Amino acid sequence: MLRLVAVTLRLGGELILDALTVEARAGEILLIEGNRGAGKTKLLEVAAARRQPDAGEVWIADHDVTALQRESLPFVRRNIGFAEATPRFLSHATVLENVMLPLAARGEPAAWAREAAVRALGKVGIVSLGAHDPARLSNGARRLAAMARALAGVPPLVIVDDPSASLSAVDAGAVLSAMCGAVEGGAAVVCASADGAFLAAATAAGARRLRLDAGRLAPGAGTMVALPGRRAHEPLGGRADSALDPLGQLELGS
Amino acid sequence: MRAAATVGAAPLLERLRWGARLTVQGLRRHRALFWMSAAAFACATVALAAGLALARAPAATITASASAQLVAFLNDDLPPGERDALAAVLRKLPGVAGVRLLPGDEALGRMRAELGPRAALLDGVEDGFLPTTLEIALRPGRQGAGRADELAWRLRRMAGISDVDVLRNEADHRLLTEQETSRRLRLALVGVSGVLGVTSLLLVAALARRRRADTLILEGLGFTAWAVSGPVFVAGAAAGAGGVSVVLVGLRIAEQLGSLRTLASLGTAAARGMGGGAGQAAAFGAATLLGGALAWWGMRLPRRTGRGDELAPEA
Repeated sequence: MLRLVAVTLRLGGELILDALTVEARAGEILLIEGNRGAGKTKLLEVAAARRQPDAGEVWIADHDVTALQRESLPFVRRNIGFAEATPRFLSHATVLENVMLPLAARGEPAAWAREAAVRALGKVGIVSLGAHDPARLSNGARRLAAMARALAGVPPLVIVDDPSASLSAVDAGAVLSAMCGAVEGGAAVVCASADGAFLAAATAAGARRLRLDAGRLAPGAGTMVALPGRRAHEPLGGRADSALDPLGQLELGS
Repeated sequence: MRAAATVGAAPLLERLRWGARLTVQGLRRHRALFWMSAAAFACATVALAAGLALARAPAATITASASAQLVAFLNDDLPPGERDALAAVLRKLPGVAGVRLLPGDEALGRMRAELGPRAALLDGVEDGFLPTTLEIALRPGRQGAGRADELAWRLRRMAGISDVDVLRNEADHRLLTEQETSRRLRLALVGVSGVLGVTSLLLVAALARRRRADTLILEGLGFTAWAVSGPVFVAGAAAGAGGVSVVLVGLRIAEQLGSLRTLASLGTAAARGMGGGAGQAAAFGAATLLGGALAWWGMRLPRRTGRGDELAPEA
């Protein structure tokens, strides 16, 4: 679903990503871990077709995004659910209206978009906030709303930046659960985090981990942790309702 | 539900529905700026209509009862032949009703006659005391009053003429004052309409700039450039069209108010000043296009295509 080939990114002369090659397949969660400044967010921006790399290729669903014209990028982006670390919303529009936007970009009928948006809000447990103004929400609630917006269109690629920051253990568990739900639906989920507890819970839920260090993959990174009774790369079907429930394994984020 | 990619453009009808929805939401979010833009457009239209009405006002109903007159004092050393030639040239000028050469001794005789019993004051004054003059009579009317000053200015610069006096009656003075006041008022109104016009455009641009943050969000979510800029263009166009429409409707209503004659005549004058129906349609169209185009221009983000650039930069 997502393949970054020898991606290099420089900002202000500083090397942010150094010939990075990463692949995320449909039906798996790829965790990008690393310290602050390791290049996680920039990597996600490149993967979400929001930033052009200096070199390398970004393949999303068998299309090299770096070779596309700018006018074609919206058609790629509307198939990517991106929950930013600092989510932005249309001001004076409700949370529900904001969550409906990815479906509006695709031109889905409004009634259907509303239904999907409510469902997405339900996945992260904030249906009751649908009529609120995002500007009045707490940081945690805004993150959950951003997660709902990323998932609303059931995109084949979901990219999540630092999902557990500002969230309680329960809310972080809901986010992880929603990510797992997307994977069950066949999506590829790429998630960057520096939160050890969240990483551990996600790994236990079957996520593959990569460690990023100063724009490079750390040696030995890319290990797949197979869940009991599951094969590597197998979609996480039926996971959230039993022993695989991430809620039970998640502790407060660091 | 299975994740699935969407390919290609959405159905046109749905795109239009969402466009309308986003336009309304955008107007709702920035309604203060929208109303201010529309009001500025309306005020600019009013000022422009008033200025045009003044510029196209019919000829004054009062006309000068007598013509203005110029008296050109000729140099003493000007040969008689050149005096006659000068008088002949002046007679051919537009607006000049007649030119008469008045020798110095005749002028002195006229002065004595005008002084009557006090003519003794001029005893001992020689015949060459007063210079030879040209009396230039201008045709009566609105043009003549203003033309006297212009002609006097020109004559003073001519060789052989030492000075020029402008003699005009009370009606001419009134006409001149009215003309000058009208000219200044017209200039002021055109200036005010210009300032208000620029203000309205700046407000529309501000409205669009306020929506730049929205643009970033929408582009990041996969909205096409048309889908993002369409609602902004419509909002700007609505501000322009709305402002002008209010004025045009107001003028129509004012024209119909026969009982309020002053208001009716003002409405009629302003409507005519805008050139009737065609002019009003042109004003409506221009304001609509101008508002929309400026809003679109204001919301545009710098297009950076180099590698390493953010394709949807942070606000």
